[in-house]
Amino acid sequence: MRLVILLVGLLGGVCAGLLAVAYNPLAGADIRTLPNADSYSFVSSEVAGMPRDAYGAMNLGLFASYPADFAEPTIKNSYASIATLRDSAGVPAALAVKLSGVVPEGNLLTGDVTSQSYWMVFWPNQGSVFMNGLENHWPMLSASVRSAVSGGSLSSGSISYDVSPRPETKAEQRVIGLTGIYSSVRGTFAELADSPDSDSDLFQGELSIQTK
Amino acid sequence: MLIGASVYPLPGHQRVRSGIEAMADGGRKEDFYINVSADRILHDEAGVAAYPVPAMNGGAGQYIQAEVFQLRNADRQVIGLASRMRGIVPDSAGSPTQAVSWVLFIPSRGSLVLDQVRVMTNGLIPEMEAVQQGRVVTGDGEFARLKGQYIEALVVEENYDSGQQERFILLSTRLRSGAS
Repeated sequence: MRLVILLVGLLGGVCAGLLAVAYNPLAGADIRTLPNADSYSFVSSEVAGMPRDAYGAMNLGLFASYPADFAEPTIKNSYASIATLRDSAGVPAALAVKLSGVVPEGNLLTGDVTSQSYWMVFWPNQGSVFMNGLENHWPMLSASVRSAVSGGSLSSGSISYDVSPRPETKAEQRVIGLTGIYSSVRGTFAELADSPDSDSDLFQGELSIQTK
Repeated sequence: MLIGASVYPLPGHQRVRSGIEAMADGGRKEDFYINVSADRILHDEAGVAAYPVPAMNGGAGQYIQAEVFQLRNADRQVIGLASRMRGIVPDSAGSPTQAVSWVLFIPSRGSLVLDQVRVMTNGLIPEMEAVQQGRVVTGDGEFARLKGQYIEALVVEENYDSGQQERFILLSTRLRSGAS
């Protein structure tokens, strides 16, 4: 009898936890726009590391159907990508590298599922900037768990979401000029992730870079 | 439910011992290594001609290159990731130079950004010298508010297990709080 109660309690707790992730009222909506910013679309040419899906975000890599890219425990929850940035006309404008890793102090109760990200963007014959900031993956995680709760798989489906933090967090999204004509610029940036259901390994989205 | 959500074990990062050495002048020295043949994870390059930007003298036919490596500490343990980008950019007078920029990302500690600019002569990138020097531009996490210099060199070591020689890129940083 004790075992039955224990199992029922455990299952109830798991279900309640999943519902909390899917419908957590403490996790607000993400809206962040940058006026007068340069906007680029990007698609990765190379990626490696922690899966950018619910399995990665919830530490459930053991249940994922694909192998982990990084075996070393010091980097296994990190991610690397190379992407070409294209301007609004679709013309290649810059080559970029992105590194990111989860922020360990996350908390499901407060909807705090974040990564620290680092971009290096290089415009040929012009210059380069470094950018760093936080990423909020709650919208993706919430959509994934809603899908699972409603009988589907732990997949967010095709989803576009603002990975830049909510304005009230006052998180700093820094742009620091490094070389060439950008060597003295400073600014901020915002990123929109566009995750297609067809390929969880594909990294694509939009980047807005505002400098002065 | 609330307790479960608040204590759920989200992913983190294992940390290994940091090889920081105190320097006599009050700064700190830390060396990082990259195994040239084993640690490169990602690589891409694009011809500058693919980008419709004004050509620079000496920039024609050049490539921009992006690479990601595993990053090791002085004990050769993998502790993070490093990205390197190289390409031609103008200096303050508009003359072409080769820029090399590194991001060293140690997930359990933070990041460091390093860069160096090499002056081109007659449109040619100078031969790689044995030791390159550059500046530490910025950092975050444990490296926030630290600045300084770094030395980049290629070192060759004997691997006693395999009997083979291994080549490492050494990135030796000298940092001080707020120093330039």
